[in-house]
Amino acid sequence: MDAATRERLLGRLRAVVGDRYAFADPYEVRLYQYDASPETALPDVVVIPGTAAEVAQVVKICADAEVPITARSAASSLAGGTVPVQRGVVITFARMDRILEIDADNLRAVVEPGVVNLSLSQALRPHGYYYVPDPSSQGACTIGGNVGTNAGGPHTLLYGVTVNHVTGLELALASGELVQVGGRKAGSASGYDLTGLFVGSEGTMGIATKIWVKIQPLPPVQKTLMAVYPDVETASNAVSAIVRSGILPAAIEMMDKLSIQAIEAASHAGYPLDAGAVLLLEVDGIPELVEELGERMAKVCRESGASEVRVAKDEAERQALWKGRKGAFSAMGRLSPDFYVMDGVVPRTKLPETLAKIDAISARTGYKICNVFHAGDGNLHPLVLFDAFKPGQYEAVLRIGDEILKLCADAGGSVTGEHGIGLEKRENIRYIFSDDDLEVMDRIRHVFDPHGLMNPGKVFPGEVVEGSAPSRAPDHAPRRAANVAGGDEIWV
Amino acid sequence: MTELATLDFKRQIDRDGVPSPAAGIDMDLVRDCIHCGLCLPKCPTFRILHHEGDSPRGRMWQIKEAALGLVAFDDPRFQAHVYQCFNCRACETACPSGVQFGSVMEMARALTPPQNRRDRMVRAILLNGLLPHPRRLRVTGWFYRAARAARLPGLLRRTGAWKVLPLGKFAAFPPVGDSAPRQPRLPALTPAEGTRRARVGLLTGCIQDEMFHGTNRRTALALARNGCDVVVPDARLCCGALASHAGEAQTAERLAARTMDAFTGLQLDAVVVNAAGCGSNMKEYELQLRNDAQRREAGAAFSRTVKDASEFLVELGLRPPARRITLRVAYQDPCHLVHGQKVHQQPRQALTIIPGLELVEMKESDWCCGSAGVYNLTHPEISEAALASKVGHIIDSGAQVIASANPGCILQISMGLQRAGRDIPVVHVMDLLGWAYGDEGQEPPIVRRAMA
Amino acid sequence: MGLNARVAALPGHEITVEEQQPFRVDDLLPSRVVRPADAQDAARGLRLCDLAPTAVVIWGGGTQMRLGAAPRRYEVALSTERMSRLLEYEPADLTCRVEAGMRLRDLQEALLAQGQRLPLEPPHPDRATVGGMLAANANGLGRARYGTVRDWVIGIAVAYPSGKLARAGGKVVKNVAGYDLMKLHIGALGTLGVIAEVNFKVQTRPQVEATLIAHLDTPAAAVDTGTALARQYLAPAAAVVLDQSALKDCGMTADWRWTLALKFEGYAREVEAARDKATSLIRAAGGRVEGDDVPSRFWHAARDWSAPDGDLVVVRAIVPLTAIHAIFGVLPEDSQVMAQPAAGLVDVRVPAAFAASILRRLRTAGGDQGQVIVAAAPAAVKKELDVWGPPPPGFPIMRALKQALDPNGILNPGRFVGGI
Ligand SMILES: Cc1cc2nc3c(=O)[nH]c(=O)nc-3n(C[C@H](O)[C@H](O)[C@H](O)COP(=O)(O)OP(=O)(O)OC[C@H]3O[C@@H](n4cnc5c(N)ncnc54)[C@H](O)[C@@H]3O)c2cc1C
Ligand code: SF4
Ligand code: SF4
Repeated sequence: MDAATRERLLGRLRAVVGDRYAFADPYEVRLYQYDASPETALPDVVVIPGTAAEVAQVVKICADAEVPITARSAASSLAGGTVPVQRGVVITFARMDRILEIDADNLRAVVEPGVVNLSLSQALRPHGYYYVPDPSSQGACTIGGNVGTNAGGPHTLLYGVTVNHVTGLELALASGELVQVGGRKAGSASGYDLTGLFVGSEGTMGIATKIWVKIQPLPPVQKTLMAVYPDVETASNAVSAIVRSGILPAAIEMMDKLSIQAIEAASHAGYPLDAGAVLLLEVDGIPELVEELGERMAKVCRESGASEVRVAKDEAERQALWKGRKGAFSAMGRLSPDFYVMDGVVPRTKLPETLAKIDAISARTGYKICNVFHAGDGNLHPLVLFDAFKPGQYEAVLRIGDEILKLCADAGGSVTGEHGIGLEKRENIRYIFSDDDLEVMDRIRHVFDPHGLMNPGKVFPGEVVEGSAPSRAPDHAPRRAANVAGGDEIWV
Repeated sequence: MTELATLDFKRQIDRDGVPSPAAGIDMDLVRDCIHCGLCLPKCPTFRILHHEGDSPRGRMWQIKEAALGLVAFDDPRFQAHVYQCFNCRACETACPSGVQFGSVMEMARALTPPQNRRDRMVRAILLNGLLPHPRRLRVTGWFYRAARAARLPGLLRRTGAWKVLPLGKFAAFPPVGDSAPRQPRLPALTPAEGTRRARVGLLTGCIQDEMFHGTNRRTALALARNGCDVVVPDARLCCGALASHAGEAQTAERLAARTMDAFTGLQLDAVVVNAAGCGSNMKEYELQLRNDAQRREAGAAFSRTVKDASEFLVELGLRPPARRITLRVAYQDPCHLVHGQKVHQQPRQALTIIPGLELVEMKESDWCCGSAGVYNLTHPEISEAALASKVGHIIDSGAQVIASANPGCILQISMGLQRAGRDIPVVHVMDLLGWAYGDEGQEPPIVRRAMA
Repeated sequence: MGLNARVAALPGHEITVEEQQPFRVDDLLPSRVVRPADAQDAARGLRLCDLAPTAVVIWGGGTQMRLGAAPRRYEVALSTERMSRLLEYEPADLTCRVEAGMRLRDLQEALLAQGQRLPLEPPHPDRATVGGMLAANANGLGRARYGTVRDWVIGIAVAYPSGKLARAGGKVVKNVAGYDLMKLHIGALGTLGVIAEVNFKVQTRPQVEATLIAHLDTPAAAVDTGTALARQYLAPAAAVVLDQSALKDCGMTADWRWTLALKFEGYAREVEAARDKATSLIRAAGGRVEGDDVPSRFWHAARDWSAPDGDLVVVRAIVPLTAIHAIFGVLPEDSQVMAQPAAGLVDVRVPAAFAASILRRLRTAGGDQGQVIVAAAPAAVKKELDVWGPPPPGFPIMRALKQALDPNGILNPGRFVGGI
């Protein structure tokens, strides 16, 4: 974007949000080039609107000027979802962080997109309710971002991910309109379910400016168990055994040896350092039942090879175990200067063989790969450890990532379970979708965003947007997937 | 100005090789940050200013870029963001990666002395001109007390002159403290009462000793009642905390060395500190002395003996005081205690041991009040915003008295509450404990009534 | 190729009058019936219809054909009856893949053999197909506890008029790759494509089941008890408020007017506790627990009540929980009602003569946060009614979506919201 265009645009945006909240200072915009992924790209202008109406006006101004728009909430995306690869305007929601309504009678809360996930549950607690989806990043990530990525979390195993808990949205569309879809009631009786369609669209269909979510009564008690296994294979077989036993745990998380070491170094959560793998399990419900289920689950764990099963004896111990688990990614900082997280999914029964294959990749390439993940869902998070200051390592790690995702796809799984396709995996999406599949999705995108201005360069492979938008920064030539597969056999 | 290239370490490294970071910045510490964003919702300046540049993650990123030469250390925007930080270290508590934000920030500040006029003035006068100099401090203290005795604060309030005078708001709304004429120095040794359990040194401090002399006396009393010999070194000491947090590395280093020397050779089990900012600083002398190879090791050893007063007393096991204080008290966590020293429960335990005292929790008790060393002088607007929400939470909590553990916080919150027209005194945890152990004097009326 | 030639090239064949009858939609009859063998076949068939272009009405089990407006045009009936296989089922993964024409009962039986189930119970599972359930978003009585169709579908393959068979989602329980087109097709009434294959996640069957029948003096008390249960932990698997006549339809006679029927499912201890809690809530509301014994067909009849065969008119209100009272408030004395208070749903069977006025009243009472639709009605009555009500705010997008996926408007033309 040339300087004159930028100034004109900035002027118009400032008229909407005020001088403080729209800026193009090259120094300041550098701070909006990153999220929690390794990807970076600079925006031209950053806007921090304060209301939905302002968002709509900002979108309209950008659309009229044919400038790309990227929504950025807490920027905890692990897929480069907020990285403005085609420059343009970044909209952040730092000022839109109000809980607008807690409507316990209708089991709903209404929030602005910038509300931090955890703070919503904290605000609900005194009322006896909570908001279920609990990404490990819940202390940082926002409901708006969760809607963007359809975020999951440890406790979404039993109760469902973000889309299962969102009943309505107010959207700022590329047309500059503000439209409400869905709302307070459960489900839609007439018209297409645009709420469901929008959740997980990673900012490519528009921007959520207001969100209606379900809230749920807090379970009376939660019991957390830690089962210690000699290796990941035994632990992953145990996952299937638990599921088959008829117990419905609220969460089943797995950590391997390396992860345990990192977690313990970071938070002294109480995981045994000599374990080959650990399962963190939780059941919730009324006290009598939880007691019974806890015992049954402990029995299944022992029978499936656990050398030790420990029950968190009080809330403090339980919190410590979860804090360790939820801080796991960040704790990797203790093992290695950099890491690269994958988010593949495989059917639960394919966990042992997939983990073995990942192990083999690690052995072959010499890069350490640790695993800490939502085992109950088969949602793997292999973390490849590396040092970005060593030449060649980053590229090598990207190749390893490709290989792992291919593995997951081949096992009948997916290339992303919760982090989203974003920038990072848009070539990998071909591992699971054919051109026909993608073509239909692209048509739908086109309905919402005819000029390709909403978070361009994301979700879809090798996309180039025509028009006046500047092309992708030279550093971001699309990464071709190692092996492009055609649809059918892969998908099923 | 020309546009800067996208920083993409990984690809840039492949192209240009590993950049050599600026001297004075420990790149390993900087790279601990994985930009996950978990610290953002806990950062007071991000909440007030909404810009990534004023968030912990943004600051780490800027420091990284500066260290790699992508932006200049003396870029005014770099400075603005770096000095707009409260240095409250709430981000450290929030960070699962173990980023040592306070240390990184001090390194960065040391490399870029502030250019802004107000900031420079505060530094010249307060950090380098006054605090390190015992005699000047004493004279200032004398003026302060004389002014209070002459009811100057009331005059300032009535005339509204506080709004224009430098430091006016603090002069007009002083905390309940030593308005009485200067009292005698604490004796070199206050002997233990009952069975002797420990021998400790007590840092009486710079500002603390001038403005909160009584708090020091009550701290000594509480220690003695709990079986400690309390040793007070002869020299008047400034531990260098304010200087170090503000990036005045040389002043800080000199003061650290002096403080250590004063406590050396006294056969102490611990050095007890009742000012959170000083305690947190003294627990990190190793870092302060990192450029002094000889003393670095000694600094680390010294730091291990430093304890916050309530931390020490709770660890020792408090003897229950006899006097009841029937009051509803909320505790405000000083940043340098809760985030800097991870001392959270102990002051609360020290308070609840007082018979009759009911401890209530206020919202966000561990959020910075905006005092932040000299920050309330250098950045009054942001500081005021933080103070305003603090005052709101205090009022909502229904507490009759606020207890804290750092002179800066006590001054700031006191001023805020008085300006809001609230008669809620702010005192030190050790004040309440001291009064409960039988100390007389300087208690605010509401406390006096509660003790009856 | 001329139109006739193209039509002649359609799969299937011209049909006789007798063959036509089962495919009647309102008062229209098709001239052809197509019965694709599988998903690809369906896509190819659809392509031919699109070339013509020929209006296609998709047929599953036909249990929801009285839903929606009368089609504008109707030439080809596309029946999924041959696409009825269970393609994949891995009990340990709790997932399966089925063809859209599979009957729900057949699927449930296969799952049951492994101690599992799909906790969705739309009306008439012996006839209803998986595809029809998705298209009509037909849910049973468990929606407040188990969610709706959208919460259990993890993947989908859809044949489009373009002749393409495109998939979305996958066969793993957690997946955010690409757009969630499952949501788009669920409840779209077949206006965007022919749902050809569906992947579900399933669950382990609950350990025990129990029922509680309670009698309450007013509908308000019954509704309040039902919503109060939903707001607490241990919500029942089904909570239904029935008036006397609806109760009779379900095989029970009573001398009281309002009944709250509760179904509990889960682990034994949980069910016991939930029943105790419900009992005390019912008593607190001034109600009387009448027992836990119901005729064996009770729950099935209750499930099917809202999709009656024959010429009945059913109006359905979906509103926020707190608006249910307002709905009951405008119902005529002795209305035939079955409500699911925890889901904010009220079904009313209304006499054809009053359908329009009741519909109007309910729409006013439901407010702008609610929706009131005609869930079933004979053709003659439908003509007089605005079946879907005013198009929702996002309607321009909906129309654009239709245009993007079915540009020639061959799929169920006119049956959906706003004439889509
Ligand atoms: C340590 C760590 C642990 C994590 N654990 C999990 C986990 O357990 N489960 C999980 O699902 N994810 C996890 N994540 C990933 C990340 O937190 C989630 O993707 C989260 O949903 C992102 O929220 P955010 O507010 O940071 O959104 P951002 O990162 O700012 O944005 C995410 C995407 O949504 C879009 N978007 C943002 N706001 C809006 C809006 N208002 N309207 C439309 N689109 C919008 C953006 O353009 C972007 O594509 C983790 C990340 C980290 C760093
Ligand atoms: S400082 Fe810590 S919490 Fe904040 S972004 Fe960096 S790693 Fe995350
Ligand atoms: S020290 Fe305090 S103000 Fe500074 S970045 Fe950290 S949390 Fe924010």
